[in-house]
Amino acid sequence: MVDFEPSKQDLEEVRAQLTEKLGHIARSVEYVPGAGILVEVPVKRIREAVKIIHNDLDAYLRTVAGVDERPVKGVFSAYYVFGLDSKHVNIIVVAYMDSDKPSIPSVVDIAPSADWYELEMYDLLGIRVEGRRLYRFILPEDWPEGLYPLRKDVAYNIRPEPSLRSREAISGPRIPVGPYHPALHEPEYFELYVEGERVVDVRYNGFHVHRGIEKLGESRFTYQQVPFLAERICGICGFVHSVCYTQAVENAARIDVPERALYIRSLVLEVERLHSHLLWIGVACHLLGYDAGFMHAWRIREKTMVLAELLTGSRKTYGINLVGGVRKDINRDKIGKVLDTVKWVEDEFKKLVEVITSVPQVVKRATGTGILPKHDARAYSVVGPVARASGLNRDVRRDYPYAAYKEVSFKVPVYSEGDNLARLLVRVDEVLESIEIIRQLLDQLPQGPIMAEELEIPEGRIGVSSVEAPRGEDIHFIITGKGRPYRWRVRAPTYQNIPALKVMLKDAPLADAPLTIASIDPCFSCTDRVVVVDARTRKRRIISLRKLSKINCIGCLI
Amino acid sequence: MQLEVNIALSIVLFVCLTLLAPLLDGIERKIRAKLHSRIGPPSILQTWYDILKLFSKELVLPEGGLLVPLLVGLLYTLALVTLSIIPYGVPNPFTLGLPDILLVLVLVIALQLLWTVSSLASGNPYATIGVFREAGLGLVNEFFLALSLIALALITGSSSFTGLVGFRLTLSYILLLVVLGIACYVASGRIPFDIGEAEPELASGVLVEFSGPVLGLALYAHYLKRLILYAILADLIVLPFANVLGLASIGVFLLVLVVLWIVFAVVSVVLGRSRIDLAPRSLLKIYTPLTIAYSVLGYLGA
Amino acid sequence: MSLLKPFKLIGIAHRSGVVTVRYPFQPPLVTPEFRGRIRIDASKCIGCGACVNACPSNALTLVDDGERRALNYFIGRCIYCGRCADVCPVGAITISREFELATDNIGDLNSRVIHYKATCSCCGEETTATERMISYVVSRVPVTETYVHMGSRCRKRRFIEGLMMGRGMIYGESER
Ligand code: SF4
Ligand code: SF4
Repeated sequence: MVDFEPSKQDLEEVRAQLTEKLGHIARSVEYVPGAGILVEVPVKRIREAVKIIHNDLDAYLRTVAGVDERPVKGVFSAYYVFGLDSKHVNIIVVAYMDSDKPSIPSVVDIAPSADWYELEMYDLLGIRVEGRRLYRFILPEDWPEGLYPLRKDVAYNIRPEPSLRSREAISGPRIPVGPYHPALHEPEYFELYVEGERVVDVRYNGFHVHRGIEKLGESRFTYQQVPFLAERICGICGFVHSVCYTQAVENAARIDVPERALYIRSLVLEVERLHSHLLWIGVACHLLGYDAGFMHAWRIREKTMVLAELLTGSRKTYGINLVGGVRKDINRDKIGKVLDTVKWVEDEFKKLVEVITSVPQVVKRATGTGILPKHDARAYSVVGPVARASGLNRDVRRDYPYAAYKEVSFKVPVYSEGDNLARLLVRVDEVLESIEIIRQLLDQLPQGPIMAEELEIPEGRIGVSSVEAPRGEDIHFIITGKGRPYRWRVRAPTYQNIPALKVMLKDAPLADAPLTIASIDPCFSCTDRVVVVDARTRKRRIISLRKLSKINCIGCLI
Repeated sequence: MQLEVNIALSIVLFVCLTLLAPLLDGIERKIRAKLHSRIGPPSILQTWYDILKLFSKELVLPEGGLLVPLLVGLLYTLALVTLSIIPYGVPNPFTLGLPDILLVLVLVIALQLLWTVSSLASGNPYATIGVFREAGLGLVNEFFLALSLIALALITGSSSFTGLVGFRLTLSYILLLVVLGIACYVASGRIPFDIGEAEPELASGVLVEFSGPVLGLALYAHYLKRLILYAILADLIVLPFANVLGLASIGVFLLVLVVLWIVFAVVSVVLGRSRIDLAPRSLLKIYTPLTIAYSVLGYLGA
Repeated sequence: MSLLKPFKLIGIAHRSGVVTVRYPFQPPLVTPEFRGRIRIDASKCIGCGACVNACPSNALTLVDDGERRALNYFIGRCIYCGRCADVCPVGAITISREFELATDNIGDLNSRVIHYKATCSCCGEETTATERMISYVVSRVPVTETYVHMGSRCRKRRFIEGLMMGRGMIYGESER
């Protein structure tokens, strides 16, 4: 059974629509199974194409992958992956660029969520994006100019001499370092510009722990080793990345994964969601000074961790996923244990939620704070619970079913308030839904092998796969290569959600900032520190979210 | 002869209470752990061990230089002085004939002030935000604390705790006790009103620059402050019966003190932290009607 | 009564009791499925390097030095995935449940199996295979194959020679 395929009818409809609207610019429109509808346009006309797809067809930007295809096609290319939820299909716009001086027009004014992708393309591949301000985004300050690590002629283990560049001048006094030696956990930080206790603007400065995982996967690892690397992208929901990667490869190579393996993947993904949401609920309580809620949420969570260990052999970074299937089967004994545990978790969780939502401070401080209105949510293409709390009915498990999700039925909780409470409630509902999903999966679990027999991965194929992570949609884009991916583009959910924080934090009281930042459930290392800049005096104060970083999951942004 | 015995007893009690404060915190930590389903610290002596350990560390001076340890030292001394003049279930022999209700009021407010000033002296931005938050909240809380203590003097017709002995309980007195109870709870820096510390938001705010012996002393002073506030409450509950109970009222006083501490500890576990703009508002909403009620009742003599 | 609802927590805490443990004074709570460090059975390992190829994190490495070859296991890099145990042809690797591996002596983190390389039966030089690899192959494929005892260079040479000695026509030798 291969990954989900959109229905013939939907496909034809979309293709007809695309040919009609894009016929005058598109060089080709073809359906690539396992990826989506691939539309090639000349680089000069990318803006028109994006405008039509993003605005007229109402698709949202899922990811952008720049690729150095010089060794195979003699060009640079940029793949823009759009999702058309209603038709369950991806539209991939590809534009090829000159190999000497690659450049492409910016689309950030059409699709605001393209902002980071464009900066990344410029920084890592040296593709100039015209018509916008470009600046160093991911690479460290002292990385030499003109050395683009994702290009194929740059070795993965290169260690260039640091070259000092003149920094962008920062007005105002220097940032004080301290008091808790922030160097220890300072992967990224937000600068909050405040007036008194009111936030007036936000600036994000991240990627301090960018590890070049994509490059590693493209140059040092093999197909079957990458799942273990992918799982380490996130320390909380790593399994989503390993599933997403393996699915992308399986989609590209049209590998038949046995059904039982798909069920096990879904099962473990849901167990992971349970622990992740419980973790988040605990942290949210802690941020609100309600440590009792924190402790009890984690008391419940602990059972799900032990369950994960029983199912996979490890509490976290399960390591049971491979291209073609899974490594560890489950038996009747384990099924019984899973059912017992989820029953217990369900009961305890319901009791605890009742208490948590009765604590006046929790309710008061979550209600009406950190609001993300629906139109902003759509413009920033936010994903996961953040989207669902802002009225966007979006869930990859339902819209682009993968693993065994089309075999189970579940509700997608949607709230329209867009505040911190809505995001809390979405997650609470999802915990209960996950438990239901687990029960259905175990009930229907098919017999059979857990690993595909044939594992042939041809070169040059494109694969796209997405997984609904606890934090939102995770999406991997793959071009297959020899023995390993030629290009492996990872887009973690937080990547899509952080830019929307600007909207949520603006004009809010400073005291709510930690909760609001946490409410998108970022990988916490991303929110490690907050710099507060007083807009009136231009003085910087740094506020450490030191505690948050203890639940570290380094660099969910890859 | 009677006076000498009283003085000796007071000194013993004073020493005991000084030692008791961290112990009570130790008990609180054990209780909090129970409510969290944790084992918690190995014993109720843990707070004492913590303080002793902090004293054994080297002194690191924050930016304010010697000013900070000096202020913290002053804070601690002031706490001891305050503790020495409050009654321990029986009128305090040191303040016989003095208007000690007002004296205690002034000292408690001074304690609060010194607590914030000493952290302000470090110049740390977290501490600064913390201090402003404390000050904002204190404005409301201390106003009502002062108001209630003055009203207490008016209702009982005496500005001394001695005047409470044998006082017949009235409705207005009980309402006043409620207001004072809340005010003491808030002043003792407990959740939801610990916004000046707010660990996840401000990295411990007012405490952030203290370390080693300074932190040890500051924490000790903090526990003493809590003890003083709850002791005042316990006094107001016990003193009216002191003439009946005789010396046993000391025991009752201690019991009430411990119970109050534990009850407050449990309350702070089941609540979350408030926000600087919410906290004073919700306090006002509670205080104002209660204050009006006891004033009217007190005026009517009920 | 909603004001009192938060106090329900006391009931929850009471019912669930104490859930933390006095680790490390109590044995760790790991399930039987737990994957910890690996153990390599030196008596079984044949030095083939299959585990080294599978290991995602380079915790297992092969180091060649003349006539010897060491299979080195460095715990510091191990991610406890157990892939090596999956691929080992002789089942020399077992996954243990040990995970308390912190130490102040880096030597504790390294362990190795030393193998001796077979010498070529023809020219006497070291081959790329270990002695154990060869006995393994011979035991699995019991054909008296002389090639298996030779180094790759001699093997090629013998192959060509064999061809040339065989029946059939030789087009002729090219000039050197
Ligand atoms: S367990 Fe995994 S990481 Fe460790 S040595 Fe084996 S293959 Fe390598
Ligand atoms: S025999 Fe097993 S342990 Fe030894 S090198 Fe080969 S795969 Fe590794």
